[in-house]
Amino acid sequence: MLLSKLQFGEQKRVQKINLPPKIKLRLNNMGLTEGVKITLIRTAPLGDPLEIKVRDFYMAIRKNLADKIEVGEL
Amino acid sequence: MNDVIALVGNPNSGKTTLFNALTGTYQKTGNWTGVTTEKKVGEYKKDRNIKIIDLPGIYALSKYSADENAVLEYLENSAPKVIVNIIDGTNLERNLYLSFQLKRLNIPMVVAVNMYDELERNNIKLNVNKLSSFINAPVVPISALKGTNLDNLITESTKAIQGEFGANLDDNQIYKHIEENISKIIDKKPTKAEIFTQKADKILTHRIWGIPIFIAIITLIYFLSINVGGYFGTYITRFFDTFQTQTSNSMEKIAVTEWLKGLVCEGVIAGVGTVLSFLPQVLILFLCMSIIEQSGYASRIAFNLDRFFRIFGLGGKSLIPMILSCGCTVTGLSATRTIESPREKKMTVFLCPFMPCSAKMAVFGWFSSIFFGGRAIVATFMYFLSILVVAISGLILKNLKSFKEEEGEFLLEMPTLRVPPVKDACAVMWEKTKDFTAKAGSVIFIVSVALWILLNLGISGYTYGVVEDSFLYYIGNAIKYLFYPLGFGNWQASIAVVTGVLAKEAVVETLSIISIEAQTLFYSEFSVLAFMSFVLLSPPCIASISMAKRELKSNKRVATMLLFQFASAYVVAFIINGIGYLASNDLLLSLIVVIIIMSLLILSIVFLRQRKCFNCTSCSKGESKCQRNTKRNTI
Repeated sequence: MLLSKLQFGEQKRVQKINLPPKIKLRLNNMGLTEGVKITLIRTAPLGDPLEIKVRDFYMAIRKNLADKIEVGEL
Repeated sequence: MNDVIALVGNPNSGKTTLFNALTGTYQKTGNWTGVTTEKKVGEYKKDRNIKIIDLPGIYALSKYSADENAVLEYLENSAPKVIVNIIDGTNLERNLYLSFQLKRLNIPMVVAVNMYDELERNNIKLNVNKLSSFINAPVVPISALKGTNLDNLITESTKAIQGEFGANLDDNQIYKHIEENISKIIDKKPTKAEIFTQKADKILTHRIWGIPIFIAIITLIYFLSINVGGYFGTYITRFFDTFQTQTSNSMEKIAVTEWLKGLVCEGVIAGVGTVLSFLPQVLILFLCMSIIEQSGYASRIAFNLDRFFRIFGLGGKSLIPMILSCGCTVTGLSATRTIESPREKKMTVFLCPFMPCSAKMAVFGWFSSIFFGGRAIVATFMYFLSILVVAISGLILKNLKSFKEEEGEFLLEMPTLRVPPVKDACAVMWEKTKDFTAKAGSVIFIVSVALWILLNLGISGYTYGVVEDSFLYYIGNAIKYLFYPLGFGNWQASIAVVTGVLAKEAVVETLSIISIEAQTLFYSEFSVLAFMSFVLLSPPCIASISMAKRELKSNKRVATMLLFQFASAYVVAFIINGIGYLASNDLLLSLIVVIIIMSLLILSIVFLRQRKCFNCTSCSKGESKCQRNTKRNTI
């Protein structure tokens, strides 16, 4: 399942980040690693970006990245 | 030898607030990511031998961004005596990641857990001893904002030594290690502020209401600045009027020569006084903009508008400098340093000066009170006009060859909303007042003197008030033809536009020195609007141009930028004035204007069409050379 397809407030665990190493590294640095719990909070008024919660903080991520992040059951 | 303490931590963990508290200075802070873009050096206020270094906020030491590189380079080459790793107590898990990486540098380290007061308020228990043994470094809980425990932090720092290296972990093991131990260190639960933020964000970023609320907030800010600020401004105007009359009278008594009296009264006092009377309006606008940043709302603006601006090749990181530019373009431009993508950066530097900075507020305030009966809506109109121009310019620049490049990704932390500290609000106001008066005493003063001299000096010397003999009259008349199509083709307005490039306040200064009856310069409200939009869009000031040069690192690019800004100002002013012609029922003129606008539009559409090649089969360059297509495939 993709991160971008979650329901608002739904919590899952990140399984795989299918992104180039540079972007993946940056996500990792901010705490978005494979295996971390992640919650989709909301989308912006125009449908993009998305707001997610990971490791107790909130961040905005564009849909094109969220489309490449696979999530699964906790 | 001096002791050097380097402050390192995540963005928005409060490094600059701590720096300000320790050094007793004022550096700009904000409740969002990336306010500090350059390292700042200060001295501990209680012991001048201790040097404090404030570094840009980073998430990791991975050489990913310019900021990370700068911090790593500094730590490795300058070897400070001690690192104070400041971490946000409400977000330990992520903040500790950097702590573990810092430990590897073999520099003595002290961990300062910031926002400890907030933890206490929310009854969240942090086990300081366990945390200390977990990362093997002294831990000092502090509140940078309230100034709690800072002396203790410095004492710990000065005696810190390189401790035993804790767990030697790979980057990908660190988070796992933290996850396993975090529950022993802190009992996590959401703070009241976090719960409040989530409720507020439901409204502030609401699907339907998010954007109207943004528009309402901006309208309110301009209403406050123009009306409330304008109210206080009238007192300053009155003061300077009296001051001018008094000075003039007393100078007459002691029989000072005519020209000296003129220079002092009609030149300096009138010029500087006019500019100073806009201090309240500028201050209120600046304060509101800083509240937007300090509260954390700025990140919500970026979140709400990212998608919209992305259509025009902007968005994400370029929005931050633009929001900052609404206070001061120079600050905004310096924030472009954190933009990794060179294209996005160049474009942002080109477009930031379009934003209505607080100096332009003086111009809007002046014109609103003279021509529009003090209606704030005109200033608000200018704000949204600038957004529109930024969007259209983005669209044009995006299609230019030199701006083509892949889109940068956008990851923005959404900080907890906070009530801006009163102390900071006062500091912001005080700094701006100092800044503004310093400007009035330097640039504005010099421009006043220069203008008055040019206005009262002709080929045959002192003109005795005969304006038509003055140099300024000749210069103005020489350039006024340029501005005929914009509706203000008279020498006074032309000179004002030119001096406006030095500093935007100089526009009102010039008009007040040259002519008393501003109404005679403009034939309609539209030509006033055209003039205002030209002022809005032409390069804002000398300081911003030199800042742009620092960021663009090339004279040629600066020249292109200036040309681009003047051209945009000209075109927009022309269109607005053209609409004015249409409205005035002058058929022939209206038709000419319509034809010109239409052909311009068609030209630009053709121009854009040529550059578009979504489908590569029809592109003569072939798939391998088509930049657009390769771009689409990268992510």
